[in-house]
Order: sequence, then structure tokens, then C-alpha cells
Amino acid sequence: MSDNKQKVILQTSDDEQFTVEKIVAERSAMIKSMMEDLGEQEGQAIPLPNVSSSVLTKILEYCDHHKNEPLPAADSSDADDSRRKTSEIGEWDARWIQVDQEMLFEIILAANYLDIKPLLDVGCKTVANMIKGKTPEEIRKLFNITNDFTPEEEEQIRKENEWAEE
Amino acid sequence: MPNRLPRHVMDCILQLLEPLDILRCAAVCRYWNSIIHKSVYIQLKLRESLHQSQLYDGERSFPPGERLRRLVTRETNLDLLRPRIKQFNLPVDQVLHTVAGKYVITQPLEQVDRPDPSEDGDGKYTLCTIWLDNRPKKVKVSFKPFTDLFDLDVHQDVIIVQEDEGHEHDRKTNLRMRVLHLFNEGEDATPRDIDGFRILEEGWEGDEPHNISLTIDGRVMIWCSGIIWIYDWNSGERLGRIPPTSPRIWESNLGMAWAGKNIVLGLDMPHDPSDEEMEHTEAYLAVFEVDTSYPGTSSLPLLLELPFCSDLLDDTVRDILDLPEDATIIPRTQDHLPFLQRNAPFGLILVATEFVINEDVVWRLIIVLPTSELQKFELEKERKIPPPNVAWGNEWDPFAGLDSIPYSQWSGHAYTWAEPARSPNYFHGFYEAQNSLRLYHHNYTFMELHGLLHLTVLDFNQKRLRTIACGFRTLGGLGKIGEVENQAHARDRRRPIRYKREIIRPVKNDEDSNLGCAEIGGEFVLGQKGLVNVVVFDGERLFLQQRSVGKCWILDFGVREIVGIAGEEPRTEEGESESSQVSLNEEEPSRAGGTNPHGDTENDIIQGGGG
Repeated sequence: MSDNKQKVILQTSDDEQFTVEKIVAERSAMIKSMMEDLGEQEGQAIPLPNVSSSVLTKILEYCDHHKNEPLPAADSSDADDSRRKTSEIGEWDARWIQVDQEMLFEIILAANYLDIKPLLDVGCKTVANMIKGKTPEEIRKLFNITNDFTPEEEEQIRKENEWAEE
Repeated sequence: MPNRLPRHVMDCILQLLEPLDILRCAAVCRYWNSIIHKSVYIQLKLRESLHQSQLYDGERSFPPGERLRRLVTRETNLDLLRPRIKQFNLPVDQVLHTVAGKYVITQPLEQVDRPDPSEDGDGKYTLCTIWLDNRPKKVKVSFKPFTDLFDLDVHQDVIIVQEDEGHEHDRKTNLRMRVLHLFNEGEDATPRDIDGFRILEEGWEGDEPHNISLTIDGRVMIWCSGIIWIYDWNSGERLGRIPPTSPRIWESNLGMAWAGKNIVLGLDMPHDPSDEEMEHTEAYLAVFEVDTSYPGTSSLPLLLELPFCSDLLDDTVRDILDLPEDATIIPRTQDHLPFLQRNAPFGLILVATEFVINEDVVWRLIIVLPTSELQKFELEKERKIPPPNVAWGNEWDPFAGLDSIPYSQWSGHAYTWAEPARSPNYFHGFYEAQNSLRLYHHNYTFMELHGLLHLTVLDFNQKRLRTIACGFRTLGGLGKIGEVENQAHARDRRRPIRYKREIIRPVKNDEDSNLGCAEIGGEFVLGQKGLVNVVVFDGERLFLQQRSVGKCWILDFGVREIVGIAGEEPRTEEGESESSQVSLNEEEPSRAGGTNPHGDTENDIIQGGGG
């Protein structure tokens, strides 16, 4: 089990197969638990119906870079807190996540699906940094969000927010 | 595009932002707005910021404070915060009696510790045991035939117990209040320097003193046959009594409470002083300001009329419940009704009475008056200040010629609402959890049979009330069925909304766990396997004792840390003893059915006065 050279096959939504080192794939808690479930069945591909090959390629890049770091404990609420408090993103991660918005959200969705906590954090922090200091209108424009408040609600919110815009 | 993200991911992103950014995000779209209102972490962060910036300061309304307050005022799921659960062992022969501050006080079960006078002993028996940090400290007093722990109160290291020194014709004649010093070298509490104080006053006949209540500044008040005696327990000196004259001024005492330095009494008084039979009584709150500059004196009381007599009750209830004209409202007249909550936390005076609609459905009218509001009654104008030499014991009638303040004039200072009475034997009171006050109801029978405890959110911090009412169906078309009208009433925060919510079901226990679940979601239901014998509330903590297994649980609802989010189990802590961790399991909630005595689809209606 501890053989680092052990390989695992991942199959994406567009039916592409990736053969990766087990230690890389194990960054994903979801894949890790699937491997445990599947046992030692040689050559069996793990299906990832929610992840496309382009996104998986990108994510495997991340996993490979971080493969030698300790895995976050399964139940680490304290670690969660310390992680939450800082909006710092590591230098390599920051460069790695410089992608277009479409890809950014695909990465976040995949990180969530694959249960890669540190990656999900990087994604969330990146989005949070994009939001910081922007007005609601700027945020809507940035993310192409429809303003679905009624005019009355909008007026109410605008009044409440006047102080924040000064 | 971020709106493709699952809710919890979006929640994580918003959590990373500062309060100001969060406010802006709340204005982006409905989805973001709802996440911000419902995220425990975000709500806590906003609250924290609210307090830190000292913007949450009564009526002062800084724009950011106001905005923040609006955010935390709306629908939140702070209720999802779970209690921290601590367990400690309690000998099976001890019964949980009271909790005062950090002390847990137990009593011997059925006085098993009482020595037989015929045997040689140390002539003392254990009145109670104080548990501090899970270590016992016995309070023993010399054995006298009638010595009893009728009532006690603890403050710092002082405990006052009642000791009988003699009796004749089935009544106690010589009562001594013993002041005991708890912390000393020995195992037993020791008497303080003074020899206690005796209550041998004229006019005391029959009833034993009870409702012993200590205050920080060294006073104790004791209710005794319609008279409240006030002593200085440091010196044993008597400070005075209320009323200073005949106890016949009022028919019954509806309860008493310290409100800061004031004493609040709930009183039944004759409608007409010449009405000797007291057939028509009205209920009042009498607030006595105890003047410390002239020991033994008091100003005249502030008299607040309570809407508990038939006419007023009728008007008040109709107004609140919007009842049809032909509905009848009859006050319930039981011995214990109406009543004044003695130990309501945070300076709240709680009075309640019950009434019957259409001779069928029992409802309860509850009025909560924050003691801070008492300052707004323009006391100087309303009160007559007696000459400084007027002593408590002197012959003056504190109510002679004194006008009461009609309910209509002070109701704006209070929260008033009506709810269906669950059953005559429900107990209720307040406790604090997550910076909000909650109302609890509990019924020993249900606790024992089903392990059900009902806690109702009554959130004063958010300046609104929410509750779940039960048995609404039985109203048979009276009133309006509660509906969710959150938005319509959101602006008027003093006015509680009508609220509809599902009752949380108790989680089924596995074979091994005694304490089953702690689900909070507006309503809190505790389910445990087996019987809970005793339940005691203390501020933000709930104490449960299960004698059959010799254990006691403390459920701490303090807001010091986030102890859980939706879907997570409550965090457990081990007590200092070798107790095992309380296991809380998370099986599928069982549908109410057999265990929820009220069904699970009741609606809710509450209304509030205020303005």
C-alpha cells in the first residue's frame, strides 16, 4: 500500500483515462476512499463523471506539486479555523490558479467534488480576493450575476448600503 | 457564474470577507443574500463585529451598526449552534437541587443521610452537597428534629439554610436562618461568626419561610406568610419588611424578585379596599426601591397594573389574538396563577397568567418587562418619596393613596404575547443561549416518558420573538393560522412575526447512549433513552440528572465558540471524573409520531406589544 510508485487509473467525464501515481491521486479524499473500497483490484479505472479531462489535467498538476505534503486530518476543525483566517495564497498556488473564470469555477467545483480541501481553499480565497473592495454592481458585472431583487428591495438595500459606499 | 457553486462553497467564500464586503455582497442577489443571512459563521462574524465596534449600543443608530443589525436581525440559523456537553458522575443517592453560579447543589435523596437520633452520631446531618469542579463539599448542620432544607440560596461562599429550633402544636416556633461559610479547611461548611438570624416576628404564623434569595450587596429576602423580611446576612440585622403593615393588603403573593436594588412583587390586591372578601382582585407589580442611604426605609412602590383581571385580560387578549367577537375569554384562577418568575435572567421581570378561550382551549398571556425599562417610568414624578425617618416597620400603608400606572401606559415598555398553554403542569422560564434569550418549557412527565424538552426561541437580542405554538389545531378556527410573514414584518423589529416552523424531532438513540440528541432549530428537543429525573436551568446552561445511571449532564449553550454547524455533531467534552464521553449519535431523526407529544405540523402565532 505504501508503495509510492503504485499507479491508479482515473476516468473523466469525457472518457479519457489518466494513469497517475497513487500518492498524487490520494490528495483527493474522495479518490482515496474509493481506492480503499476497491481494494487492490489491478487496472480498474476510477470513474470521475463530474470532472472533465481539461480540468483534471489542471488539478493533477496541483496534486503532483503538493504530493509530499501531509494530508489534512479528516476531522480538523481547528485547522479549518486557522485556514479560514488567512486569505494568503501560496506563491506557487497563486501562479497556478491564474486561469480564466470559467476554469476557476470548474476547479472549485471539482475540488469540492473530489474533496481536496486545500485546493478548495485556494479557489475560495481567489474568488474572495476578486470580490474584495467591489460594489455590488461591480461584483454582478464581474461574475455576470443577474440582479434579481425587486425594485423595492433594491431601493431598500441601496438605502441601507449608502454609508458603505461613501 | 459563482452561483453554480454549491451553497456551502459560496458560504466558505463569503466567510473569507470582512464585514463591509459581506454587507455589499448581501446586495448582489437573492442567493448571496440568503446565504449571508443563514450562515452561522457569517452571522457570528457580523455579530462579533457589531459588538467589537460598539455599534450595538441600545438605541444609538450608527448607519453601519444599523445595517449590521438589520443583517443579524433577519432570518438566521444561529440556532444551529450546538451546546457543549459535559458529563459528570453524581452519586445515585444525591438529587440535583439547584444551580447557583458555578455551584451545583444536590440534596440527599429522601434524607438518607439523616442520622437516627437514637444512635450516637456527630449530631449533624447533611443538608446538601455543593459540587464545585466536581468535588463535593458537604453542608451539615446540627441535628434538630425539624431542621429542613426548605430553600436555600448561594452567593460566593455563603449559603443560608433554615434550621428549626423548636415547635409546638404542629407549627414551628423558633426558626433560625443559618449562614454557613463554604470554603474552609474542613470537609463541612462551617457557620460564620454571626449566629445566624432568627425569624420570630409578629404576624408570622403557619407557613414556613421560603424563597430565600441572596443579593450581591449582602441582603437576603425571605418570604414568610405574606411578609417579605429583608436581612443583612453579614450582620444578621433586620433591614425591614414589606409590607410594613398588615399582610392583608394583598391576598396572595404572586412571586418576588430582586430587580437590581429594587424588589419586585407580584400582588393580588382588592379591587375595592372595603371588599373584605376580596372577591374582586386586581393584579399588580409593585416595585420597591430599597433605599440604602437610610437603612430600613423605602420609597413608596411603583405600582404597575397587570392586565390579568377579567376586563383587561379580555381586551388585551382580543387585541393580540384577533379573536372573533363571540369568543369568550375566561381567566384561569388557580393557586399558582398568575405568577412572577423569580429567577429570570438579565433583569427581566416575567409575569404570566392563563386563560381559557371558548371554555375549551387554554392559552397563556406572558409579559416580559426588562428592569432597565423601569428607569423610564419617571420615577421621581410617579413616586412619593417618604420622609427619611420612615422606617420599614412603621405603620404606614405603602399603597394608600397611590395611583397605579395603567397597563396601557406601560405596555410599550414590555413584550407581551400569548401562546397556547402546553399543559397545566408545564414549567417555563428563561435561559440564555447564543446571545439570545430563550423561553423553555418542560414537563416532567414528558421528560420522564419521552425525554422531551421543549425550548422555544425568544430572541431579545434580535428584538423579536419567535416560538412554536402547539395545539393550534384545537382552536377550531379561532384566530389566524400562523404563516411565514418574515419579510412583511422584518422592518418592525419590535413586533414579533407570525412564524411557522417544523418541530425538530428527537433523534433515536442507540442502545448505549443515555443522552440522545441535542437538536436546535428554533425549537430544541432533547431526547434521551431512559428517564431524566431532574432538570435545572442556570443562565445559559442546562443541567440534567439521570439518577438511575448516577450521571449528570451539563449542556452549555454559551456563545464563546462555534461548536458545530449544520450536519455536525455537537462537540463533547469529558468531565473531570472518569466519565466516558457522552455519545451523541446521528441516526435519522425519527418522525415525531410516538415521541412527539404535539405532532409536528403545528403552526405558530405570537404577537407582541411594544413600541
